[in-house]
Amino acid sequence: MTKNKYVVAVVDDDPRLLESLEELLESAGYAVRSFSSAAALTRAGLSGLDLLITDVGMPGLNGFELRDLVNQERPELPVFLITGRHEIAEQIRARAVESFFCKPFDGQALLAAIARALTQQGRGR
Amino acid sequence: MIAALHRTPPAMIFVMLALGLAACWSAGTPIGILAPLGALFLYARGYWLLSLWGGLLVALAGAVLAAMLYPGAIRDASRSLAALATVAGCIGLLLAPYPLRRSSRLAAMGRQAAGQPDGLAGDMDSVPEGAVHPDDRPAIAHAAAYAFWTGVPQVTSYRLREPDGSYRWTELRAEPGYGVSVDVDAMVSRPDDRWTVAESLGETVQAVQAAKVIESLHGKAWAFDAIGKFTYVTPAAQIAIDMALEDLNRRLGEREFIDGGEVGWMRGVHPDDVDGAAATLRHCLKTGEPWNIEYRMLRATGHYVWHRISARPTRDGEGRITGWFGTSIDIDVYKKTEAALREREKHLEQLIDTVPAMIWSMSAEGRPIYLNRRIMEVTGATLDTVKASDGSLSLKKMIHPNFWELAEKTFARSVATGAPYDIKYLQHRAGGTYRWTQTRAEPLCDEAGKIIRWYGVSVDIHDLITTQTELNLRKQELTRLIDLVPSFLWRLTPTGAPNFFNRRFIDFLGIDDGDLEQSRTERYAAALKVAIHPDDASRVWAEIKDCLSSGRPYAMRYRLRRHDGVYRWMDGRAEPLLDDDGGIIQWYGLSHDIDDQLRVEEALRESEQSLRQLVETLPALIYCAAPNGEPIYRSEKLGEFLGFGLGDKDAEGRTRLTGTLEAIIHPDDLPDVKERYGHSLATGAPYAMKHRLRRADGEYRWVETRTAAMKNAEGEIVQWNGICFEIEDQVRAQEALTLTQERLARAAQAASLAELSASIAHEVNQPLAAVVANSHACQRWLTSDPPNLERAQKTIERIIRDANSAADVVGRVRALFRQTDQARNLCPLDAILHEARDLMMEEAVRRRMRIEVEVEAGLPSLELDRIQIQQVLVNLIRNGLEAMEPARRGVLRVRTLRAGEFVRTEVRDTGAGIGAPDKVFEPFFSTKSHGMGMGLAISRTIIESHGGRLWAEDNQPSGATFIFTLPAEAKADHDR
Repeated sequence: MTKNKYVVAVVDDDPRLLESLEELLESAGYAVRSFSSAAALTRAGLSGLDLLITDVGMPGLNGFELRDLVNQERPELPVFLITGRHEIAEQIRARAVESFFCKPFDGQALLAAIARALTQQGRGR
Repeated sequence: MIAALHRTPPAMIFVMLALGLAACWSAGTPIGILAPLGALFLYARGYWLLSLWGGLLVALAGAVLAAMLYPGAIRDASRSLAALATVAGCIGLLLAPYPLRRSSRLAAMGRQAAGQPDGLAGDMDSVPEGAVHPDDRPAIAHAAAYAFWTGVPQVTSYRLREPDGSYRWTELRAEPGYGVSVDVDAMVSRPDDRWTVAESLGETVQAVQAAKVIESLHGKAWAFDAIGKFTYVTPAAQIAIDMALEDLNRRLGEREFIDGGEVGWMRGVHPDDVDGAAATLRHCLKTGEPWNIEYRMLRATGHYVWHRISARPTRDGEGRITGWFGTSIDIDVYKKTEAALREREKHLEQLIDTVPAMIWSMSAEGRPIYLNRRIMEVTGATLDTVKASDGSLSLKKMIHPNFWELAEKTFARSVATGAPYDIKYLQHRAGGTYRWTQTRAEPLCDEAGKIIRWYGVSVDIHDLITTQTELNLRKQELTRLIDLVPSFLWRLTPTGAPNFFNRRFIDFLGIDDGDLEQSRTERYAAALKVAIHPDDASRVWAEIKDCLSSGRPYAMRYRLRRHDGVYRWMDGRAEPLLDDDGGIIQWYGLSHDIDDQLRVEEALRESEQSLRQLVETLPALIYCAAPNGEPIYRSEKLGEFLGFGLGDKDAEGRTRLTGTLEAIIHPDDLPDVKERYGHSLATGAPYAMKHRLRRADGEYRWVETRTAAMKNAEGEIVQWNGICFEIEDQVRAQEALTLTQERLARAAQAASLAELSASIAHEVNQPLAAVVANSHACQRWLTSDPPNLERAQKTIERIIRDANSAADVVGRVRALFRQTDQARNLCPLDAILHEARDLMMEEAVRRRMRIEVEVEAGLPSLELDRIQIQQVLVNLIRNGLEAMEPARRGVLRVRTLRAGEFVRTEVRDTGAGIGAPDKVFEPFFSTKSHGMGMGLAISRTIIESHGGRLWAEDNQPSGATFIFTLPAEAKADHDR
């Protein structure tokens, strides 16, 4: 089971969010790697990661920049963005992006979206 | 009888006429008419005779003609009349030769006598000596002598021998040898007059002889005896007085003449003279003294005639008087002449005395003899005052001392040389003054050229002299004036020939006075012709020609060449001098050198034009006003802008200023403009104001007007000069800018609020998101199989922690709006109020609204946060303005006053009012289409934090009032 565990990386500058997401993902059976910034993630590298969840508003590289960066290195890696800014969220949502969540987000919906993303990836693999 | 009839022709004619008519009547034929006709032929002379002949010829011709033309009775009568006329003509022819001859002879004698006073003998010689009857010769001689001596014509009858030897009576008229200027009657003697001679001469033979000698000389003489009894009197004398010797000697009383008795001759003496004559004669008869006397004698004609009578006695050998002889001469002529002369002299004297001239005469030696009455009256002089002690002329009292020497020298020379005397001097007047007098004298000389008398006349020429002097002075003055006057004066004849230029004009043209070959007019005309500028010449001459013909005044400007060749502009004017009939006598003209003036005017005009152009081209509206503000000038641009002239808004009952202001200033701005303009006019302070100005098309445009006083050296305001910029675009731009700013500010406000809310949301969202995620995780841990309680426990702890974190966020937001009282200072509320008003002014103006601020005097300073209170005021003012926005006009009134322990401030608008006065203070409550609705909430918070209250009330009838109070005494709200 452990071997089969998907590895989800979470990047947020708010430790409380990191903790709560780690808790939620672990409760769903995912292995979680938490990073307090984009820089921390890039230092650790993307290998072994099956999915990335990142906050948008962060010091240093923000969530979009991090996603673009990750897309260059691992285009197949699903990237989920979460934000507390509703105006940003509305903009994104207008483009019908499913991998985008507003704080406070629905935990069940998040988990379902992650599962869907990982399934598609697995099929593609 | 016949002689008497012959001497009186009218009587003869009358008698003939009477007899003729009687013959006609008795005989029944007109033959009787021949008698008066014959008498007429005998006496008629000259014109009458010619008329008589003419009448006869006409009658004869008429009768013959009638006889030829008419038959029957008329022919018979005519034949009879023709015969009568023919017979009458024959009688006339028979009578005519004699009287005609006589008349011519007598006339010739008369002429001879007049020409030769000494030729009486010749007189008689002209009548053939032998032709006069010897008896009549003495009488003719006596008559001639008497006429000669007395000057009285003598008519004497004498007999003239006819060629046939018979004598015929005829008359001689002896004229005196000279003419007299008085009328005297001729003395007539006839041969048939009565005269007598004494029967006996007695002792008077000698006296009679003497008398006859005298008679031969004088024509008349007489003699009487020692007792006065006439023994001889010349017959002609007896005839003249119609007294014969008997009549003369007739004793009329008992006494003899010599004894005082009256005798006949005394009846022939004038009653006034008779006693004297008789008395002196008696005396002479007694004493033998010669008798010389003049008295009036009665003539046969009935007239008294003056006679001069002389008688001398004759004596015998013993010296006894034997008789007297004497003569009497008719001196009536002399008496009458004397009287006439006296009358004439008197008349002359009166003439001399009454002519308005001062006449005098003096002797050849220069001694005054006569002064006429006028000279004495006028000068007050008398013969005595003009004579020196030796009788010579002295003018000392007569003329002014300044002229003594001159007058005496002139006088002395004239007397010495006989040259006429003519001098003008100041002569003394009776009133004590001196007047200019011209005195002329000329000598009257005798035939030898010796001066007999000097006759002089003095004429008062004072008025003439003073007038002349005055006239001369005037003339000099006028000449000087004409030459000095700094203009050119000239004169033209009616035909346009110049006949006078004044000195300046002559000098200007450089006319040479010395050239005498040409007349002055020609020289002037030639000089003028070349002096007029060629470009002006045709115009000038045409105008002059036109004026000369029409007589209208002439006025022109032209250039004239000065003697140095420089052309100068002239202003020439001329007007005709007219006589009473309107004919032109002369043209008088003046040319004024206006060259300098023209240049100055030109420069001025250019300068003015340049200034005007400057003013008119300046992109501004310019105007000027009198010190009282009345508009006196507007630039063209301003005039065009307003669309009416300076005086167009004048009306009864208001000044031009008021009328103009009311016409051009927007009604909303008018009170302010009036107040501030009035203030400037009253104080002289510059005026600056932005207001709306009515354009000609009725649209109001925003302008900025600035006016300042122009003062003279004394500091008095002479004029107000103003400039007016159209700032409509600027205001519009400003409004647009303000709108943009406002929009921006709103946006910024909205943005900042959005940001704030976003950041609040973020702050809240973070822990909230964590809580939510943890809650889901917890749920999963609890629902997993087996439930992971440990993890759930840990998750719940995190949930609690994050939820608290979210609550903290809310607390921090609250803390954000919490006020501090650290910025509070003592501030005067009115200052803050005015600041706020000024901040909002622009916005009010843009909204066409006004803000009125009224602050009660003596308000205390308050301890407050100046910025916050200002924010509150700005907030309330803006709310008020916005509330009035739909009306687009109105006045927002801000009033601050003391209310007990508080200072109360009211902001009153005239908007729609508020529906729920309390609700408006709730956060996010807004009646406006945009805005967060936070303003009033924050304001209330601020006011309350200062210990005051903020509330709203509705106004009646409309609008709302926001009221806030602040504690008057510094009482910081430390509780908050």
